[in-house]
Amino acid sequence: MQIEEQQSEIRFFPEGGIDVRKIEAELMSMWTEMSRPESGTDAPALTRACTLNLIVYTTELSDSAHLADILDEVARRHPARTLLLVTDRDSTETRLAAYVATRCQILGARTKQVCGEQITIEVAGNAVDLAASAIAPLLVPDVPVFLWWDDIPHQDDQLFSRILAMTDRAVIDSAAFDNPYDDLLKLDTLMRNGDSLISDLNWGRLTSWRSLTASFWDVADYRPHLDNIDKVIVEFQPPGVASDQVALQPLLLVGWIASRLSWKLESANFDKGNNITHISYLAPNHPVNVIICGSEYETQEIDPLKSIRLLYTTGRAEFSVILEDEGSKLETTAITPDRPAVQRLVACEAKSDGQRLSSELSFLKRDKVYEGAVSAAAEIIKAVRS
Amino acid sequence: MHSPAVLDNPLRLGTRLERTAEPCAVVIFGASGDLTKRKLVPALYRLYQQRLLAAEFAIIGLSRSPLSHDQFRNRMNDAVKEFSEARMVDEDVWHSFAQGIYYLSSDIGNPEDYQKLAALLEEVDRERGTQGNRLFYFSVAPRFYGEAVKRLSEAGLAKPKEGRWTRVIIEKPFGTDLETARQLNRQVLEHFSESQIYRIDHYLGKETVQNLLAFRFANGIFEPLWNRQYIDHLQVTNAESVGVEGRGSYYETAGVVRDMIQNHVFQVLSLVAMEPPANLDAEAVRDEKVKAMMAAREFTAERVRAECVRGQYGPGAIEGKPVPGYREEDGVASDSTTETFAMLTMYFDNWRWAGVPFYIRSAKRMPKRVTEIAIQFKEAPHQLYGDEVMEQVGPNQLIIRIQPDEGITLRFAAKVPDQITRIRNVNMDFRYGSSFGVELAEAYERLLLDCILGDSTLYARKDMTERCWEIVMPILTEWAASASKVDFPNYEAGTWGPSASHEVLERSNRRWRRP
Repeated sequence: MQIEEQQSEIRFFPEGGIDVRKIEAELMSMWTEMSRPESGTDAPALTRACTLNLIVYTTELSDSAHLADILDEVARRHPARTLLLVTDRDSTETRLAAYVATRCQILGARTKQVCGEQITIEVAGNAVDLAASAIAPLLVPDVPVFLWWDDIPHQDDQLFSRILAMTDRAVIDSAAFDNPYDDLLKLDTLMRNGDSLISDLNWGRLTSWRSLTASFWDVADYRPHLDNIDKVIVEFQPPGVASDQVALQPLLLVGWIASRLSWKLESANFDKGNNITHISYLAPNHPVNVIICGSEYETQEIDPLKSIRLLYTTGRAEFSVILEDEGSKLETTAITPDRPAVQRLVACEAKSDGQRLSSELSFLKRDKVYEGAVSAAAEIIKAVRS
Repeated sequence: MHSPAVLDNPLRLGTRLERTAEPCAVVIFGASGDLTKRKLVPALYRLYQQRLLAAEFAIIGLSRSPLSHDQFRNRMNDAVKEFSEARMVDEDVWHSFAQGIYYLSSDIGNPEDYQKLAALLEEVDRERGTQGNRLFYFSVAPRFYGEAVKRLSEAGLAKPKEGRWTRVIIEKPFGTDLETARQLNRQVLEHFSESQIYRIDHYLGKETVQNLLAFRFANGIFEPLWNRQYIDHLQVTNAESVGVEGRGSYYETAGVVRDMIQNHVFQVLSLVAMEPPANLDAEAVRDEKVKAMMAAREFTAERVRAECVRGQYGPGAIEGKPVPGYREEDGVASDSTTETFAMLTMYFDNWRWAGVPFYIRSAKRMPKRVTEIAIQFKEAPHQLYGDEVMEQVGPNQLIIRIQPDEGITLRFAAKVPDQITRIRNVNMDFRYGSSFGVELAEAYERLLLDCILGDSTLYARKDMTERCWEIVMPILTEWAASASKVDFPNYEAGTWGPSASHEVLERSNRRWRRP
C-alpha cells in the first residue's frame, strides 16, 4: 500500500516556545487543501483519521529514510498523529523548529485516502529540556498515546520520565542496548518501580521461537518428558558490542521459560574464554542446568539466536527449535524414546521493524509475561556479576 | 471462545501467542473433489505456515481415484499454488507439511476399505504422533453420509479412544427439505453424538460475521437501539453476479432458497436477531440463535403470495459481458421453474422485534457480488430542519458488509459547511482491510482450526438446521404447488431482481437499498 507525504515547515523562536495554535492551523490548512473534491465530483478526496498518538524520540535524522519507512509501515495499520521529536542534546546552539506533514494511505484509484499526520519537532541544546511541554498540548485527546523511544531509555533522564508519564505504553528495542547487562537491569528497575507499560521490539523478534517452544507443551504425550527437563542448551551469535556479555535474546528466552515454569535460580556464572554461561535452576522437582553458548555463524546481527534444545537426559527425550537455511527457517524436532522423531519446518516471520512496531501499537494491556522474562533475565545477570 | 479440551499450557497462558491445535489426523472423504483442492488443503497449509497446527498433524485423502501418497501430495502442491491467497509455496516448508499427507484409494461403501483406513490411522499415529485424534471431513454428497458413518462405526472409528477425540464435519446441504434433514441427522446421530458433529457453514467463518457478535455485545451504544423502538426495518441482500457455473443439474434440484437462504442467510440472520448470550460458550451462543429463529413468524400461503417473490434470470449483461439466461445454462430444462431469485419478508414475534419487517433477498446474476445487512433506523421524531432541507437526506442506516470488502458503515446526517443550511448524508466507514492492515483469514482456515480445537460456536447445531427448514418449507410447498403459474424468466441478468420484489417494499413506503 502506497503512502504519500506532504510537508510544511513552521519555525519558532526558542524564547517563544511552540505555538500550538500555529501548528494546528497549519495542519488544518493542509487538510483543507487536500480534501477539496476532485473536479467534477462531490465526494471529499480523503478521510482524516487518528487512532492513536505516537511520540517518536530519536537523536538524529541521519537515517531518516529508514525512519520514514518505519512510520509509513505504521501508518498502514494505525492512522495516527505522530509527534517526531528529534533531539541534539550536545549542541551548543539552542534550537526549536517544527514541521507538519500528512501521511496518506493510497487505497486505490477513485477511493478515499486515509490520512494521519506528523508533527516533527527538532530541539537542540537547552531547548531539549522543554520538549515534553511542547508535546503535551499537541496530543489528540481520547486516543491512546504510545512512545517509541529510539534510543536507550534511562530512568534518570528527565525528558524520558516526563514523556513516559504522558504515555499509555512505551516501545523500546533492547537489541540496541550498548551495554546489555546494565541496560537490562535499568529496564527491570524501571518496570518494577512504576506503572509504565513497556513493549520491546526485541521481545517481538522472539515470538516465533516462543510459539514453537510452547507448541511442545500442547502435546499431552510429551508432558511427562517436558516436566522432567533437566538440561537446556541455547546457542547464539555473540553481539558485536560488549562481547563479554550475552546478547539479550537468549537471556530473555531463558528468562521466559524459567518464569513460566516457576524455576528458581540457584547460581549463574560466565566463562568468558569459551563464551558460555552456566545457569543452575531448581525446577519444582529437580535441578535444571541451562547453558547459553555463543558460537560463530552467519546470521543477521539483530536476531542472534541459533537454537534451543530442551533435554530430559535420562529419559532420552529432546525437544529442539533450530534456525536453518541461513536464518530463513525454523525446524522443530521432538524426540521421545517411544516413537519416531517428529519434525516440522516453518518459515521465519520476516517482519520489518515497522511491522513489529505496528504490532506493539495494538496492545494496551500490561505484558506480565514480558516483565517476568525481563525480571528473570535480570536475576541471571545479577547472579553472573555476584 | 476456548475449548475446554485444550491443554493448559504454562508457556501460553497470559501470552499473546496464538492458540495451537492438538495433534490430529484429518481424513477427507471425497479428496479428489473441488473443495479439497480449492479450500481445504490450502487452508490447512496456511494454518501450518502460521504455526497454528501441531507438528504432529496429518491429512489422509480418500477417494476412488487410484493414487499413491506421492501422487496425491503432488496434486495438493499444485492446488495450493493455484488456489491459496499467496499463490506461492516455499518448497522446503511444503515438503515438511507434505510428509504428513497420505492417500487411500477407497470406496465409500466398501467395509474393507474402512479396515484399511483404521490400519492407516494407526500407522499415522505411530509415525506422525497424531495421538488418536481424528477429524473426518465429508466432502461428498449428503446421500453418502449414512453409509460413511455406518462403516466408520463398524470399523471402530466413530468412538474416540480414552482421552482422545473424534469429530466429523459435514457440508451443506443438510438435507433437501425438513424430512430429509431430520433423516440425515438421525443417520449421523446413530453413530456420532451431537457434540462430535460439526455442520459447516462457511459464512460463519467470515470475519465480519464473527464481528457481529463483537459489534453488538462489546459496545454499549448499539444494543439499546437494536430493537423495534428505533429500527424501522432490516434488509439482507445476498447477491451473486455469477450464474450456476456449470452446476445446472444440481441447481435444478435446489433453487436459491435451498442453496442459500435456508443455510447461509439464516445463520447470519440469527446473529442479528438473537438476544445477548449469558457467555460466549458455544452452546450459550447457539441456544440464543435457535431461540431467535423459533420466534420467526410462520409463512402461510397468503403471506407467501403477498410478501415473498421468486424469480429467474433471463439473458442480460454482467460487467459489460453478455450472459445467457438460466434456461440456457447447461443442465437446466428449457421450461425450468427453479427460482434463482427469492425475496422473503420475515417477522420475529418477540418483544425485541415485533412488527419490524426483515426483507431478505438472495439471487444469482445480480449486478454485483455483495452480501450485506442494512439496518434502517426510524426517522427523527420531529424534523427541526424542515422538509426542504431534509429532502435530500435519507434515514440513518447501519450497514454490515459481509463480502466483499468486509466492514461496517454508519450513515448519518451532517451539515455541509456553508452560509446556508444544507444537510447531507455522510458515511462513517470501518473496513477490515484498511483499518487493521492485516490479511483476513479465509473462512475455512478459521472454521477448520475451530473444529480441531473443539469450538463449535461457528457450526450449525441440529435444532438450528431443522428449524431453518421448518421456516422455509411452506414457501417451497406453495411455490411448488403454483409452479405452473410462474412467468419465468422475470428479471434480466445484471439487474436487481423482479419488479415485484421492489413493489413489496414500496407498498410500505420503503425501498431496497442499492448496495
